[in-house]
Amino acid sequence: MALKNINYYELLEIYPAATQEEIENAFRAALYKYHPDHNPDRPEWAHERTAEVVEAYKVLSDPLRRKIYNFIIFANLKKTTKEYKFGLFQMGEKKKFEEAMQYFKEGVELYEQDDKGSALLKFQQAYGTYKFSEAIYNAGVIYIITNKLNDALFAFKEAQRLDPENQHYSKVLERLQELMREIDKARK
Amino acid sequence: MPKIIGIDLGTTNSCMGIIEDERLIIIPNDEGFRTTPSVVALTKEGALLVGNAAKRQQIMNPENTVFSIKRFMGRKFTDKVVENDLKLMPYKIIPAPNGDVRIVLAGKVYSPPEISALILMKLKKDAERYLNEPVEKAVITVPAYFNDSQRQATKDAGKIAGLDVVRIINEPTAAALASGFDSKSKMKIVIYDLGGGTFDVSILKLGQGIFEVMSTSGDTHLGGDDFDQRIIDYLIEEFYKKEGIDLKGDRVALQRLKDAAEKAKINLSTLEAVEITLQFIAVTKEGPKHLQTVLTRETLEELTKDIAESTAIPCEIALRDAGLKASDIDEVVLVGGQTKMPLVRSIVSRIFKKTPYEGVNPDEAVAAGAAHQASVLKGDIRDILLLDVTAFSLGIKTEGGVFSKIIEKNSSIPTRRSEVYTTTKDNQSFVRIEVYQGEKPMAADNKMIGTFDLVGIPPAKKGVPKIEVMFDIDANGIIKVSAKDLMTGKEQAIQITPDSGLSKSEVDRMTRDIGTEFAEKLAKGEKLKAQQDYKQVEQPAGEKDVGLPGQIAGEQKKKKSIFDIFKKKEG
Repeated sequence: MALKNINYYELLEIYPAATQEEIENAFRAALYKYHPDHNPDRPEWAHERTAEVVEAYKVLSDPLRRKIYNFIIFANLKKTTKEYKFGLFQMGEKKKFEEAMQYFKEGVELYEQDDKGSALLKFQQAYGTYKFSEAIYNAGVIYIITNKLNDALFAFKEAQRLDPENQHYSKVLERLQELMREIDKARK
Repeated sequence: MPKIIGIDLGTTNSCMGIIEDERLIIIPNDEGFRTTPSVVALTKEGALLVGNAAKRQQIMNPENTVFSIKRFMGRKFTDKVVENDLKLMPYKIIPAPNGDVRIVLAGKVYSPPEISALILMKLKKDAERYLNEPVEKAVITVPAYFNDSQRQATKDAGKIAGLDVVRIINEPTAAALASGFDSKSKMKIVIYDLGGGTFDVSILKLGQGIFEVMSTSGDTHLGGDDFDQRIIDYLIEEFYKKEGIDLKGDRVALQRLKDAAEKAKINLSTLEAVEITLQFIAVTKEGPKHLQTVLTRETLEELTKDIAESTAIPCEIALRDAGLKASDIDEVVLVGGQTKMPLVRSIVSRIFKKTPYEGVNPDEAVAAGAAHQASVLKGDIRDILLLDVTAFSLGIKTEGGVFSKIIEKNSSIPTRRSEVYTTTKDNQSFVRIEVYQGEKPMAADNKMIGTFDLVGIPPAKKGVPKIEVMFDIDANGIIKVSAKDLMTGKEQAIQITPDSGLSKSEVDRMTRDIGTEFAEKLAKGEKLKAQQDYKQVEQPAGEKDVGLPGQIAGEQKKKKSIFDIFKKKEG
């Protein structure tokens, strides 16, 4: 799934709880609005918008794809980390952490440039350098986008282990497990 | 607002239409016929003939009469399908320097788009005469199963003919537009389009004014011509058995056989048997030999059953790709002359478990649909919209020659996908991307579209440059590749080397030259045609030797359509 940083619900002007029929109606209305046939004076713009609308419809009209997409929106990438404090005798650790933070920042930047593959590498490097939950969590988010759900599950479990107090991690984990069960069911 | 006409540029016949005052008009040619044979000829006198006039003299001038040019549009000389056709075509075909197909006419070499352009120029001229104003824009239809090269070639043909091709649309989709179904109500329809040279099947979902193609499949090299060929082979064999003479090497005889075969086939759609008589088909020491035989519908069906049956596979693929069963289909629409054959109709009924819909004219539906689309683009029709799909997967060659898909077949178009590429060596200044269309796992087994070199990449360590490459398929089904440097956000320079087709300068030169080159020849052609017409009136049974019913009906139809024009002009 090539996911651009566009919200498909916003693009089709519908609520996330929209029914299949509402999605279909919204798709057709959006086509009327954006299609190159109806916008002869700005073909490039119309082409791009229509391509996005078509992609949005493709994802949202397929119940399973839509669930994965909803999950991706829910399990948003962490752009910052919580505060980590280091004592006087942990200078070595602090240095490692700072190095890891550098990788983390680069990862976020790459993600925003839509280069998911390189971003994943950076988050893995960050986690390898210093075990902090945001790095492995972000790796998990990218695994979800690239459809590697088992790897994502492992990453979120690790994030939860590192930061058991974090409510978001437990919710993400819970929803992912539910999603995987549904996918299994659909496959059968 | 200038007029936009819709053109069905067919393998054997072309047809054109326009919507005026919310009414569809099929534009007749200068002889009053509603379709025009896609035939181009250069006579010994150096006259250029296009359409009916070219077809009429085909038997006498087979080497310099080009038909079925559509089969060669955007094709390589070495394509297997071209190889087969080489043996069948009485005109000369040679390879171009880039491996494309070229046609030799009276010693001069022409590209398939140029030949098609001659047909388009005639259509354009006839439309201008009929509408009484210049026509510069057109919507042209192509088989859904045309790849990027074939679509580009069609667009080039339009340009050479002086037409701005505002949109290329797929034939089955066009037929759906013209089918007259209310797009407001929800239904699923199949368009089964078996034309002279190509077979397409598309499944569409209608609703809320949108004609959404769900899947498409087909074969660009299967059509009425193949049915004709079976009859020709049969006649040759029968003649050989009886007389011991092989007609295969005789171009004039072959052309007469083709003509007779096509007529017999058409007549067998309504009759149970026809007599085929070709006098003086061969000359021996003992004197001239005549071919005389009776062909029954049963024999014809035996001869062609496997061809008709072979259309079932694309139908099943289309159903599967749309995620539907035959019982989900509400209507099946037949398009293309070959669907008039009872055998084809019964096979279609069997595949989709439904009697085909009778509401469309198989010869004119595609042109009518193109006219509808032209009207949408002009802004006159606002309540219908076409959403087509790409019939092929688009991808690139990756390590080990593996084909990596970027856009899946049956994706709605317009569509865009982007991929990020980087360098594999330090200070690498360019990255090569080879683009292919097809479904095979190895790139080499698919159709190569072109090579895209990302050039002028600033020196950096390997893996550092990040170039986003956008693969676009526009509403015409034509591919565009562009690139952006993600580090700088600037457009990345890209050198495009298409694997086939004409360069922009070639198209420009042909556009410039075609008018002057053929002006004189065309004038000669007009004169010749006038003589031809005169002869026809004088001797209405000019094609006596075939002597089949249907001829008279044709004459009547012709008269009627001429009458129609007068009526329209008066009104």
